[in-house]
Amino acid sequence: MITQNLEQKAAELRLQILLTALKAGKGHVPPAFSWVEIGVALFYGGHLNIRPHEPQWEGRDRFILSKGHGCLTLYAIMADLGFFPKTELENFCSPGSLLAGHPDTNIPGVEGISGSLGHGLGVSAGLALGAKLYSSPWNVVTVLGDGECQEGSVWEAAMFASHHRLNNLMAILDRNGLGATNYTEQSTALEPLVDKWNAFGWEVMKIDGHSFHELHAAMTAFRQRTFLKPLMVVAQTVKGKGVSFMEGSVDWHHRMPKGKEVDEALQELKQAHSLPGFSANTGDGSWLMIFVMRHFTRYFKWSQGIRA
Amino acid sequence: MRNTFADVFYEAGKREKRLAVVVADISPAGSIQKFREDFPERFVNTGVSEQIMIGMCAGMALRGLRPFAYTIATFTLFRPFEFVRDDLCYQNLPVTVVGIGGGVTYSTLGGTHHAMEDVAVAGAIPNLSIIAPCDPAETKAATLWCVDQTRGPVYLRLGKAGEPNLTEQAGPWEFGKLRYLRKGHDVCIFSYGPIMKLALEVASFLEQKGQSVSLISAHTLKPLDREGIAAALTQHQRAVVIEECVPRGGLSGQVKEIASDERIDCRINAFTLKDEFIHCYGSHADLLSAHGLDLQTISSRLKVV
Ligand SMILES: Cc1ncc(C[n+]2csc(CCOP(=O)(O)OP(=O)(O)O)c2C)c(N)n1
Ligand SMILES: [Mg+2]
Repeated sequence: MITQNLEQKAAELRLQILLTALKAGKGHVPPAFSWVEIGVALFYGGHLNIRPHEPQWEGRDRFILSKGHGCLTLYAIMADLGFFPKTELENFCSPGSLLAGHPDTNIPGVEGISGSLGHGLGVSAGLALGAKLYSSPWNVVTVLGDGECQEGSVWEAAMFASHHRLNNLMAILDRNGLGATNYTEQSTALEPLVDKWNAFGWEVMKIDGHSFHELHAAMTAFRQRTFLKPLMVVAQTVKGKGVSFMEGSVDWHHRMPKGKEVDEALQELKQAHSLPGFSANTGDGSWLMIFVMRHFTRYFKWSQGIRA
Repeated sequence: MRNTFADVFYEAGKREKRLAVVVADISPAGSIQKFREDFPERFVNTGVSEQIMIGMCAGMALRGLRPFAYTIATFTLFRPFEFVRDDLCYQNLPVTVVGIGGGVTYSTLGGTHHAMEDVAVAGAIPNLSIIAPCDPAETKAATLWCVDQTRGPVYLRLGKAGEPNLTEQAGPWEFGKLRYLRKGHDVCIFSYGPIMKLALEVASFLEQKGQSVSLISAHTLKPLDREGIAAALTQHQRAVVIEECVPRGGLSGQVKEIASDERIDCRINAFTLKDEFIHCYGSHADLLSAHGLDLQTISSRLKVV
């Protein structure tokens, strides 16, 4: 039941994201779609301790969107939760606007600048270390891109965080198999990713990043555990999720839909919005089966990209 | 400019087999895509790893290749700064570092994508030449020069796509030499890069006010044509510098320095980006305007009656 509400929320946000981008004529839509469920699980699933009307509240959990170009999701969530007025979304990327193509700390609730990849994990580790030094009870959560993990600085931060036993830090890796121009496994391969993070001293979980059931389980485990390691959640996702022609496609990173594509995209998103959540919280992987059947070719291409 | 660069590079790549492109997960413009298809072994995508993009180029140059590192200006220069400095400049290797979107071209993407200090930062490194063409025509000449040069490392600073041609009527482009786009005798305007379009508007404005104006493209910022600048300052009563760079480390300070060193009595007005991170988004012109770089602000500060 709760999952169904979250699915409704995800559908609503995807629509909002596309409308925001269309109004501005720009924005990274597929990277935003990729982590919608991750964002919804965090912000609406009770896994981030925050007060939208008191963004600077000292006891809040700190969230950093390291893949800053995915900010349309963050903006849609924050506007919905009341960090700033929803009307700000209409001014996205225009003069006088609060909201640019990457997150900025002058936006209420944004904890760190991002946009240049490979910064968020280091800053998050610093926040987590600071919290430990002052015995602050809050946690730090960051969302990374997989292409982003090709940056050396990510691995410097990875070593640092495990060395300092920053178990108040959770990183969620949006593993959509794509960077800006290619499959990650075809530019510079990342696999075996789970083994890498393990070897760097992190506790690692691998989940379906569009399953609220699995996201909820991982996030709950993070809050309840006593392990002395930082937690890496490798979330398998589909870039552009929600609009069939964007899903898993190398051509869709920051391209904007045009003409007929706009109608198609809106139609798909509106349809998802009006349907009750189709995955019905089974949590037994049948969601993935339905997905695979629906999108066989795209999934095949994507998994080829991962393996190639 | 991007597309012109790509076309010229592709054509040059057919004859010069040592040319290679190294990108860090950035979509290569126009013909670079063709280059990638025709010469896959000379197209390298390092993934989102700018530090090794530069390091690799050094290694390739040491093996006799002529690599061009290519991505957004902040990521070719700022992210891998020390790699540019040590691996390319200290060793003086003929590698071209191409920065797309110099200055605040990427106006809606926020401060992380603004290369406001690129010319200043690049200019501080020994051995690094800096070329900032103002239009596609200059981009063509500059790219060809980079392809054949053996001096050492170059920072080639480009805008994005769709810039108009402004210099087709001017004389030939020559590395290290000022280029007069028009010649007058009262005021000389120095500029470089895509903001030349604004410099042109300022020139027309001054002409309407009865001034005779020289408009100069200072496309090679390092080595700077000091004699050329001294001569221009001597031949005009007034000089104006318009540049899309922070106030310190760009062209403005150097023009003033030359005037002072050579004791030339010329009134100089400099218009640069502010020494400030400005949280303004919108068109490139909107952002430049927030920095005080628009015709209205400049003309009112020039106080020409
Ligand atoms: C340091 C740096 N280099 C390059 C870029 C340009 N860029 C923006 S997004 C992107 C691809 C990122 O891929 P990934 O992290 O997998 O994010 P996704 O869009 O797939 O979620 C690149 C190369 C950047 N923002 N920062
Ligand atoms: Mg990715």
